[in-house]
Amino acid sequence: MMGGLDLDQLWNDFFAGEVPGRILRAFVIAIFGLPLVALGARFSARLLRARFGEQGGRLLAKIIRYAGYIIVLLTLLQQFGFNLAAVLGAAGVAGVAIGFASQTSLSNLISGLFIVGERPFEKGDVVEIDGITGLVEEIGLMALTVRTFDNRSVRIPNETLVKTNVITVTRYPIRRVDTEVGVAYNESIGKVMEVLRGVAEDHPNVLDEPSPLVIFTGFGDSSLNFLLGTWGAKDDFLTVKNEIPLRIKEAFDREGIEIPFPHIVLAAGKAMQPIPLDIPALGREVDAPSPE
Amino acid sequence: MDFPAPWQERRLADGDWLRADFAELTLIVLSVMEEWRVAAVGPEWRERLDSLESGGRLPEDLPWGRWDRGSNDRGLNFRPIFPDRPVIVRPRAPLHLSPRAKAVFYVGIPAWIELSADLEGTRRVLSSWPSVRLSNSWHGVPTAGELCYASHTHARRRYVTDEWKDFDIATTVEISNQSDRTLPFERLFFETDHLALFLHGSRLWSNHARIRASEGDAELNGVAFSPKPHGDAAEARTISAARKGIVRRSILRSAFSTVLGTFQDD
Repeated sequence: MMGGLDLDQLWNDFFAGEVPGRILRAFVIAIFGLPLVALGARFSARLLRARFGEQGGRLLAKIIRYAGYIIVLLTLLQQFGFNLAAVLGAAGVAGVAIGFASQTSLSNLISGLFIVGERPFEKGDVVEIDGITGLVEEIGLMALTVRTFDNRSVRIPNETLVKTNVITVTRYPIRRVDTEVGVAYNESIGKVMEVLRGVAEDHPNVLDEPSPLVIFTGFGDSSLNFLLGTWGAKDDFLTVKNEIPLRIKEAFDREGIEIPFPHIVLAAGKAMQPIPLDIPALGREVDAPSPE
Repeated sequence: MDFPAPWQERRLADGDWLRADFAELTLIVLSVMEEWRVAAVGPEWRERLDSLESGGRLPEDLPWGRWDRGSNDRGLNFRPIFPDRPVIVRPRAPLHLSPRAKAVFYVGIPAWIELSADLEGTRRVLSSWPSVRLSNSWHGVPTAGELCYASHTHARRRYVTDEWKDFDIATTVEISNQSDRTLPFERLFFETDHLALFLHGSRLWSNHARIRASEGDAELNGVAFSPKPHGDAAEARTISAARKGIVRRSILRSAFSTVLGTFQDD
């Protein structure tokens, strides 16, 4: 009691009134609702990460967080007497209108959800999409961000990912490096295959198992052609790809095996007669000498 | 504990260097300007290094690694360890184990050499290198598996000291074929984390393992580890403990698994 003023009564009267009660309830909803949504999103991210990967889990958690914030906002509006049915109805009508206007965005969004569920790649994977090769930087709701090896950022809409072929280069832990090589026709096929196998076996980064593949691929225009397929851990891919051709060259040089350049034999006519010559200075055609 | 050369404790004064050869590996350690400088080189350097006089000037193009040390740090030592990845061992000639037969195989795995040195008064591991560089291999399918080293062995049935390379670890495996079919010994996956290293005389040994192979036991879970090496080497001294400790019986599905071969009808 203070000078005839009953503070307790005033306090009770204030909160018994309609407006202060709503403010208090809204305050309580905001104080508890927002952290609860944040906590729930974080907990969901942890659960979803195991199923959808690091990026997918984060993305779905973001959707959950935004959905939670919208629910809290709608609940707050309801406290202040907004007619939620009318708001939702209007939102529905607006949603249809916006949907028509933003079909591509919605398509990207839905494609993004499919990609998150499917997990064709993870953050950090090397991918090839429509001629673009690079590292996956971010898997977004609308687009994938890829960093190319010359350090450019490429944004690829999710819709494109669903429609086109996507190669995840680093998906599996080991990869095969195929090296094609040709040797001169006078070389022994068996010896060349043996030398190629030796090159693969002697390289420490080439896997012993799966065993290297040595194939004689056929008779080329100027060479006998071979394919050497060597397996390596994906981290060693570039080392193997760079060093195997060098080692093949060294081994061929050591063994005296010739790597030929293209040969073209020109022949004219059925009888292989000498080619008539036209000497411009004389201004007349020189007849080919007779075989006698 | 006092170990024989080349595993004994060594001391290097500032400005001094030492050379140690381990199979195909040569390690040069130089103590200079409060740094340990270490160069690990292959056999291609031997000729140049052989021509150096003790305490002479080292080639400038040695591939040095450098570790900062305290001004009073002098001590260092080498230690043999198992390779840092599992090893898939293949006998040079596949051997077939008769039904109900039991056999002990001596498998040689090239040791890695670990260098420890005093750093600010505390002995710490600087790095480790293979005494023989093994090629890589893959245990599993192309879509999943484990990166390993590949090694070829004679898979001898007896230990003959003279035939054994100095820095190969004698790893003994007793394989017992408990089925009624022939078991080919084509390759063996060594999960080396549970194997310790022992010194018997100047030779390196691992603790003994027993494998029981029976039909329908695709993972060969019946792997038992002895705490000591096999036979005469049972009294050997431990020089390096197992990375993940010695287990009496493998509960790991991969340990010493599996890939002995497929049972064959007689």
